Amino acid sequence: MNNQFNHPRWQAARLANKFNVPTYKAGAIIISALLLLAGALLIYLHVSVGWLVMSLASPLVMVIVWMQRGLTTITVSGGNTLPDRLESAVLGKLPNNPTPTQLAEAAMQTSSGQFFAGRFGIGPTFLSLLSSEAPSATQYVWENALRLHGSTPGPVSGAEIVVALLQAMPNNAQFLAQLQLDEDDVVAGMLWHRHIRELIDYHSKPRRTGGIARDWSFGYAPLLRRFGVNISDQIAHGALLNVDLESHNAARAQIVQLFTHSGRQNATLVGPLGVGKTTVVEAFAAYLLEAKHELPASLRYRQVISLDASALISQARGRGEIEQLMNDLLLEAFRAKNIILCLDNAQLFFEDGNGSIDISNLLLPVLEGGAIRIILTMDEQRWLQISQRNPALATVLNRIIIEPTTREETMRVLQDQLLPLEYHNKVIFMYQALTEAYRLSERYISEQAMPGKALKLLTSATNYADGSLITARSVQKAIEQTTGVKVGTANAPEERDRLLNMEALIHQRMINQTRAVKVVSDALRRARAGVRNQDRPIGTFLFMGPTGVGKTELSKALAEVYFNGENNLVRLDLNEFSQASDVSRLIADAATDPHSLTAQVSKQPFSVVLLDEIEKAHPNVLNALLQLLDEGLLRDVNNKTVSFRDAIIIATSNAGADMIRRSIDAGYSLEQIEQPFVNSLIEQKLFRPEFLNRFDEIVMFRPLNQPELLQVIDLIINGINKNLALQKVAVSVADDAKQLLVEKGYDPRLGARPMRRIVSRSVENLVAKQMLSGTVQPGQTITLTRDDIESSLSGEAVSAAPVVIPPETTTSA
Amino acid sequence: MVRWWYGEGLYGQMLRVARMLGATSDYFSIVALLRTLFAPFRQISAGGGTGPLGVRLHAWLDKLVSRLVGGAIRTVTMLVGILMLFLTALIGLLLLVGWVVLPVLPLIGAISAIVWRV
Repeated sequence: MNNQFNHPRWQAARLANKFNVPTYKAGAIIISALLLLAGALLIYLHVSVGWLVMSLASPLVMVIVWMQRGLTTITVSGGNTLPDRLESAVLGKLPNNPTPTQLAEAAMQTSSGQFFAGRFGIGPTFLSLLSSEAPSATQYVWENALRLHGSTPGPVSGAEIVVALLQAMPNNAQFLAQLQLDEDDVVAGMLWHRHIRELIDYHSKPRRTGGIARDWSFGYAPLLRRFGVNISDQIAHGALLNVDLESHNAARAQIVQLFTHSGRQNATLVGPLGVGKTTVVEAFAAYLLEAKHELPASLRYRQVISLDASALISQARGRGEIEQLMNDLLLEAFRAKNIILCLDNAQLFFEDGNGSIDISNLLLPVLEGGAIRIILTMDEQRWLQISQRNPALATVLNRIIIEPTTREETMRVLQDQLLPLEYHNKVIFMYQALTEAYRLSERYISEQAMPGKALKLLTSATNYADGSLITARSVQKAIEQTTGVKVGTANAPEERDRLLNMEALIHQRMINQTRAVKVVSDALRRARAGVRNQDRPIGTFLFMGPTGVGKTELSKALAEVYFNGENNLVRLDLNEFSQASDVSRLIADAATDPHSLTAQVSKQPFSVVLLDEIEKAHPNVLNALLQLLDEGLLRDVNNKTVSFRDAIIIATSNAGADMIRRSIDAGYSLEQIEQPFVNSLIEQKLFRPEFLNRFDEIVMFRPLNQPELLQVIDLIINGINKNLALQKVAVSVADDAKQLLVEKGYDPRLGARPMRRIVSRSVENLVAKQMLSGTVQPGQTITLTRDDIESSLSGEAVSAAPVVIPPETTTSA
Repeated sequence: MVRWWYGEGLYGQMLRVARMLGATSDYFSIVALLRTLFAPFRQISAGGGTGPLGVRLHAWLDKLVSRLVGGAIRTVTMLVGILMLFLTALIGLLLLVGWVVLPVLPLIGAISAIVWRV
């Protein structure tokens, strides 16, 4: 950079930096005005020097104009050096032979730098501190900036310098990761900044839209103006901001082609809700209004008017009146000769129902005749229904499919659309909020397509702005509020503690089965730390073992510990799905069956999904579950995708329980019998290998031994004491009494499950009788002995009342 | 500054004048007016002439009146537009001349001061 400080552009940029301040400009204007006035006064007084005084204002006027025009945007020179091509706002702030740090400081003082500070959180300190102090490194940064600039017209902007500086930093990935960014993101930011400048340029140029006599050859359309919305008018007045997308341009070109060739003059835009069908219509209307576009005279300056079905229906009584009104509207459009009708949500005109009316008999001849140009929009499902119900109508419609936008396109839509959103809500969106809106809406909003759903989420995030700044967290809060899904990473100290101590927390309500508990806890920790495949469920487990050993209890414990409550457990008994036809019940639409698997999980995606007795399900049902286990997705009967990627899937089975019991009794450990057990399941054709392979872990539960069963008794009694806490009464069971309960309650075939019944029959009955007889007072503890239990279980009346201990000598069970 | 004034500055000024002319021409829709000079005005009475001869003749006459009204309005608008275009061109020319002369105005002023004193 040596010997270039006197480059004309650099000199001009320094001048601009020095003098392009409002005070100087105001001073020059005032002095030139004074000179003009003084000169005029002198001429009036016949003093000839007045001419000279007046003319002296001209150099000042030249300076003002030069400052405003010449110095604001100094055009680039022919070369490729920094003074030749760098944006003057940055160039003017640079010293001779600048270092990357000085380049960073200069760039961050311009609007480009402020853009990166506000939108990305890359502040001046961050950039300056991490940039090199060596002047020799500047050339590398500059070459990088030139490469980023590519063939874009105009100077290399401050944004390109910022990105070039970031790319030149060693370990930049590490620093950017702290801001939840990577290199691609900052490059995307640079393109966004460039796009904003292009938008400003585009909107600052005058538009040619035909002038005062444009519509004089066309008729008036008062009725259409009353019942419709003139999209062209809205665009002409700048009310609609258009997004220039490749996919939309292709659809727009198709409409232009349909309307400029002979044939049926209609275009039916078919695509899911939120895909941008209306936006395509707006883009088409805007395209017709621009004089610079090459269009046939038959399309130039044509007006697109959108008809609102509900407005029509509310204005007319009965089918006859609506048909008459529609007829008048069509006639008016035909006579005006410059109207293109748009029937938004066109299905409302082709079906009878609330807010809709079937006038296909009226519209069909019009669509067939092609005398009026009509654009229709409808979603895929409605298109299929109409095609099925009215094949003649489907034949005359020219279908154009509008696909959901890609990630890149969605980001462009968001970047464009957030400008009015920011203006209206007085907020600023960070780039991280946009990427988060895309990610979360893609995952959790299924009723709309891209880009509509991402935009919807971004709009709701305005309610969660953090000091008028909308961050990724604001978007997370918005989705958490609307869907109940918990999406933030584990940051709160209490949540971190809970995750780290998950095994201990689960064991508070579950005895032994340490291996199962550990496997599941590890999976959950991986999920909350973000270390997992995001395109699968959090975890998929097959719990195998005899009944009553804690399989269901572990599922409930997980829902409680991880999802904050047993309510977040979606439980299905698959023995109710033993017929092939039951698949449709499993994936039924929420409107038809709110208890279907897909309906429950779409309402509550952050859940433990417990599929009990999976071995009893029909093979077709198991096939339907394969995609769920593999990709975390399941399509319902309406082909709507339901995500299970935030769920823990647990299937339980008693198959082979006897084998487990025999092996454990023979002294084998679970690890030793695991593989032979799985082999035997496959050999017995209880499960197919491809089904078993879909699970992250096949977890075996072993039968409980005597000491563990005593602990189970303790847990059950603890549960009873929790219930009794309301009455301020407690119950304590003697150790030999507990032993008796185990002996009576344990069944090798049914595990610990019958023990709960035995405890209910004995302990709960005894306590209930005591409380009703009034022998126990609040604050007292009822102690039950072996005899009490024995007599209770044998059906004898309780002759001697159990011992009641006053509060001060209370011992808990 | 002087180099910019007679280089990029002058070119920019010429572009501004051209844009002014373009905007005036667009505002008065001169091209569209010429192309549709005798089109029925606002499609009033521009309906088709089907039916008995009397009806068709009536429609034709109505349409003719509409065309004549349209022609008259368009001609007047066009004349006003051409006049405005001429005025814009004149203002543009003055702006360009002024641009060229502005740097030498102090010299002209000095000469004027001497001439008028004499």
